[in-house]
Amino acid sequence: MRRALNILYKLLPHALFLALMGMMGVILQRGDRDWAALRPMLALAVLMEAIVLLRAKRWETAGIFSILFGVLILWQAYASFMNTSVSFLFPPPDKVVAVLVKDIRLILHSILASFWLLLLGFALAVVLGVALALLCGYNRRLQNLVVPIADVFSAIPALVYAPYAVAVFPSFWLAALFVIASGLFWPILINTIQSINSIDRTLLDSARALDLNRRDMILRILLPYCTPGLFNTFTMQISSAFMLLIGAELMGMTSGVGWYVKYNSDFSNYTKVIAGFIVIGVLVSLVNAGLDLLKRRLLMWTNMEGRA
Amino acid sequence: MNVSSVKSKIEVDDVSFRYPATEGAGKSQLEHLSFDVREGEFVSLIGGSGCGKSTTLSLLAGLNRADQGQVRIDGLETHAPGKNRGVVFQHYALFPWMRVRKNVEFGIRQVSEANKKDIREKAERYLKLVGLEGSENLYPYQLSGGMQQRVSIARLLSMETEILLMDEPFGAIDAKNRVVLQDLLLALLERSAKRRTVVFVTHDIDEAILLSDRILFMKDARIAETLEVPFEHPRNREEIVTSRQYQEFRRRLFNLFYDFEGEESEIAKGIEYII
Repeated sequence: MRRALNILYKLLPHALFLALMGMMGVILQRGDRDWAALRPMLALAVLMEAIVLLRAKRWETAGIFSILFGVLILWQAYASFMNTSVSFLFPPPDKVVAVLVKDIRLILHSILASFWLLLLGFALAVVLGVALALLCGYNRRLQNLVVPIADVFSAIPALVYAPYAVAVFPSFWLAALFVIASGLFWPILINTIQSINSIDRTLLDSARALDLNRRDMILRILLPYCTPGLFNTFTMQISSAFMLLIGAELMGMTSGVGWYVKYNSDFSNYTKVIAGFIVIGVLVSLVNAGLDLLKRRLLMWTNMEGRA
Repeated sequence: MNVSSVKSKIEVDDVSFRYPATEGAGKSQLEHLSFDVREGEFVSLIGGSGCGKSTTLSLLAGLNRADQGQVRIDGLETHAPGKNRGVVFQHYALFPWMRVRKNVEFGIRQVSEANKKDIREKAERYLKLVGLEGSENLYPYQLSGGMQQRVSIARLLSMETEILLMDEPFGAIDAKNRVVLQDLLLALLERSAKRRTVVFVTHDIDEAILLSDRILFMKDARIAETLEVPFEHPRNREEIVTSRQYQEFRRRLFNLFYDFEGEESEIAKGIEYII
């Protein structure tokens, strides 16, 4: 019984793949689309099937791809075969995939623009936040001055600055950069001050006993000591960073993935809007993967197996 | 060796010290502490917890500054860390983000102008000396406590400072490794070309006897007793421990601990009562 279920489970994605292909055949036959318009969707389905075959050894592959195929089938069936009055709100997946292929240059450009803005905002917040935190680590008075201010400012959602920033800064791009950087600056500042304060006394004494100069003390001791905490802050703040990014782009930028969605919503081109959702999902995953890679590289010295 | 003719390397002259109220709650303080350490001498500070031995070491290291009195090294007053002293602690002696070799190199770099290649060779030589050949590229977390402390000792010795300050360096290590490391330290110090001046904090009587030339017994922020250790260098653990002299000397030290430590005699009374 168990064995039979297992075989059924393994066969399910292949059956669904065939069902999807069959559905495409019906659509072609009916003359709704020509061969060229359907090609991207067919290519996607074949690609997915190839992945299923290549990664057959992993148990979860069949499940994940069954769900993906299932969603595509239901979605395609609803959009193509039900005659609803709001069909423009529910574009069929083959059209979304076709748009992704057709708009690829613009989409890649949008991803790059968004990524660049995010990276710059992040870098600005990290450099300024960490530098100020290190100064606060050296000077207790400065710290007592900065912390209450930081507590208040970090409580204000940075997105509320957006309209004002647009008025103040000469360009939308600078305003967006400001909103992203200021949204990340305060949490990074506060968390880094906390992690410097929690430095182990003996570790600090070991460093002091070596009679280090100030530069080595900051770059070789305090900074590496802070990196794990910094990465924790990154992981916590990355989703709010994306919200700031998309929010900033929605408010009037002329490039980026948020802009792509907003621009096409204005024209009620929901095919492209849905394509934009998918692109944002891909961008977020890519950034997370990049962050993970960086973390692995920079935090090799921490016992990561122990924490995972 | 006639040590009395040798000049003082370290002088602690009527030193008083109290931790600032913000960080020192419950930490021991020092009042009118005075002692000398001669050049090339190995001096142990022993005593129960809270007697001020670690505080004394932190003053010698320049990590804290005396409120009153002077700490002099080579006759010069000192109140900051310096390149002439190397320090080792019980915990966190290594920087966890540096590989083993890098930890040692980092120490050497602070006291030497040598080029990268020479520093690297020196680091590897000292790591080999403490039996860590092949572990150069590991991070501290990948090593056992005993191995980590070997690295700290390699770093301390490789800096070739005139003065070594060691704060219970073997306190957190299991009994077997402790013996190995004590013998290693003894051998390295006896074999090195010039005798280093060492101040060693411990609460382990046997360790103090095996390693030191002189033992300062501390109690309530002052030195209660000074004992010259009656064994010649080079020393051999086996010979010392089995000698009659050792048993007598050890008993003397043990009685000091026992008589002076109010808490412990209370415990002893309690045990007697139960029996």
